[in-house]
This record gives sequence, structure tokens and C-alpha cells, in this order.
Amino acid sequence: MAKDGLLPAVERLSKNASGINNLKVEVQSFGLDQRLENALEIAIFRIIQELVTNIIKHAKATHAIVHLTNHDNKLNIMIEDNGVGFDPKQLPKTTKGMGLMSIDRRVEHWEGNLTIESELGNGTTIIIDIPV
Amino acid sequence: MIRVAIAEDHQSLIDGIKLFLEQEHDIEVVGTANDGEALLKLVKLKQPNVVITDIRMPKLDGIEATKCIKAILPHTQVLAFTMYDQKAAVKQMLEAGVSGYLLKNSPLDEVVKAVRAVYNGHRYYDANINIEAEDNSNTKSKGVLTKRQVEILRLVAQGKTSREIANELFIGIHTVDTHRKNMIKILGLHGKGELMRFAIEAKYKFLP
Ligand SMILES: Nc1ncnc2c1ncn2[C@@H]1O[C@H](COP(=O)(O)OP(=O)(O)OP(=O)(O)O)[C@@H](O)[C@H]1O
Ligand SMILES: [Mg+2]
Repeated sequence: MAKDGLLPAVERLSKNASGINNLKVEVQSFGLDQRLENALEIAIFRIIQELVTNIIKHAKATHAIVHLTNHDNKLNIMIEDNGVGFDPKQLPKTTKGMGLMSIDRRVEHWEGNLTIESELGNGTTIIIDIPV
Repeated sequence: MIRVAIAEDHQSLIDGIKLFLEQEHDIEVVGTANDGEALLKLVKLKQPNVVITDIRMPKLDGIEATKCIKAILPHTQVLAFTMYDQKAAVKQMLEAGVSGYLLKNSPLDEVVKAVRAVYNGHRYYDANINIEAEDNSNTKSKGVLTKRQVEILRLVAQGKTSREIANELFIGIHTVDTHRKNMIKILGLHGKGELMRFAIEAKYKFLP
């Protein structure tokens, strides 16, 4: 990771996650040829790793796409899956949810923001914008 | 500092661009050439970050020159400088590896924008010349967008709002908006209007 950078690490992750429970994970990236600050790359990678883990654990999805789009002043990370979905409004009330809550905190630490769009039966999209 | 080389067989055009570019504090013109061979020599010697090159040039044309440049210095970004009537040649330039193209009669600040864009790893396609619209072979753009993005683009072409698209595809409105913004970036467009136009012009490609 420190050597290769964020994109190859995410591509490796998606390859490794593909095949588990019938899931296929793809990566769409744009404008990531230049490296980001190392700590930020590591933070972003961990977040993506947890979100992909959530898909494997909860989504029963057959297809997920990790989008990484560099918009010059910010990086957009969007992860879509075609799984069972959930009701994001229920999140804070559950005793679980450490994963997403802590991701939200970390995104906030980098002055970014996180949106969850999910509906039972219609898959899940997690959208994160982080200034770079 | 963005180091730029310019190749054009009309010296007066070079002089105009050079004068303008050099007023930018972050841009330096490291050399100019009037034909493709001279351009290659210049590029080997000065290793510029960005090359602006004419397509039709004596000795070696812009297409061949671009292939050579991309082979020896893959990180040097090349911009094609073109006329309205050179669409076929622009396509060949794209295949040769240019990062963008702009019209010779563009305002000079467009030239600056294009230089900065390709230097930063982006593509720059002059909105006044539409290569894709006439490209029936549609090889390059295939696979650039995901299936969902193509679905969204199809609905954008129908003039639908993000909310309508979200409802139709059973996804969130922020998801739709993010895809729109990302597609603008990925396709090298500038703003929602251009995405709409691209969607309309490319519409026939989405038909089954
Ligand atoms: N991609 C997804 N598809 C369907 N449901 C999801 C998805 N991501 C999260 N969820 C739901 O949201 C809940 C909260 O996720 P979160 O990551 O916060 O906690 P967790 O995965 O259950 O536990 P932890 O991450 O701490 O191991 C999950 O229990 C699951 O019900
Ligand atoms: Mg989790």
C-alpha cells in the first residue's frame, strides 16, 4: 500500500473479495495517477475495506462497484451494491453499527462527508467526499 | 511549473500563444517548433510536461509525432491543436495518445485551461468540436462508464431530473447526482449542460 498507492490496493481488495458468496466487485477510477498524502490513502483504504466487508457480511449482493473519482479538490468514493439493502434511519438506534458510525467519524476527521442511501430490497450506496 | 512546448507551422500563431502563456506564473514555454521533426528534437532535449501540437505539419505530422512522444516520454501530455474540418485527424490524434484537443480559434484562456487540465492528468475536449458524435465505431468510450451510469445518461437525455431518475431506477437522489458529477469529470465535460448535450448526442449508442 505505502509503495503502490491507493488504487492498486483497492483493486487487489476487490479481486480478493470477488468470488466470496457469489459476489463480484469492480473498481471504476478516474484521475488517481497522482498519489495522495500517505495517511489519507491509508485511511481511505481502511474505510473501503470495511464497506466491502459489510457487503460481504450483510448485503447478499452479486455485484458491487467501488468508484474513485478525483475532482481536483476532493475525492469522491462511491460504493454501490445490488444487495438486500437496509434502513439507514435505524442505524443509530442499534447497538451494532460501530462500523458505519466509526467510518462517519473518520470521514469527519478528514473534513469530508458521508451519505448512506439504501432501501430494503434495492441495494445500498455509500457516498463519501473527502477534500484532497 | 508547467513546462510547455508548442509546434505549429505558422510562426505568428506560436508567437501569440507563447506571449499569452508566459503571462501565467506557473507556465513556462520551453521551446517552439515549426515541424514534427523539430518538435521531436525539442521534446527529447527539454522533456516538457505538455506539448501543444498542430496536426498537419511539414516533415512529420502531429499524429506520428504524438506516437513518438508518447513512446519515449509517456508522462508528457499532448494537446492537439486543430481546425473545425479535421475531425478524422483528431480521432487519429486520440488514438495516438493525445490527452485532449482544442480549436485553433479558441480564446487564449481556453488554451491555458487546456494546458492546466492535461497537466493535471485530465482530458480536455474542446466543446466546440464533437468527435464522439460522429464516431459510430464507439470503441474508446465503451467500458468507461458503468451500466448504471449509462442508464442515468439515457434518462438525462430524456430531460429527466435527478429525482425522477432516482425514482425510476430505485436509487437515491444523491447517488444520481454523484454519478452525474463523476461522469462530467470522467468524460472531460464542463458542467451539467454539457453532460446533457453529450447524453443527447450519444443517445443512439444506448439503444439496445
Ligand atoms: N452493504 C450493506 N447491505 C446491507 N446491509 C448493510 C450494509 N452495510 C451495512 N448494513 C447494515 O447496517 C448495519 C450496520 O453496519 P456496521 O458496519 O455499522 O455494523 P456491523 O457490520 O453490523 O458490525 P461491525 O462493522 O462493527 O462488525 C449492519 O448490521 C447491517 O444490518
Ligand atoms: Mg460493518
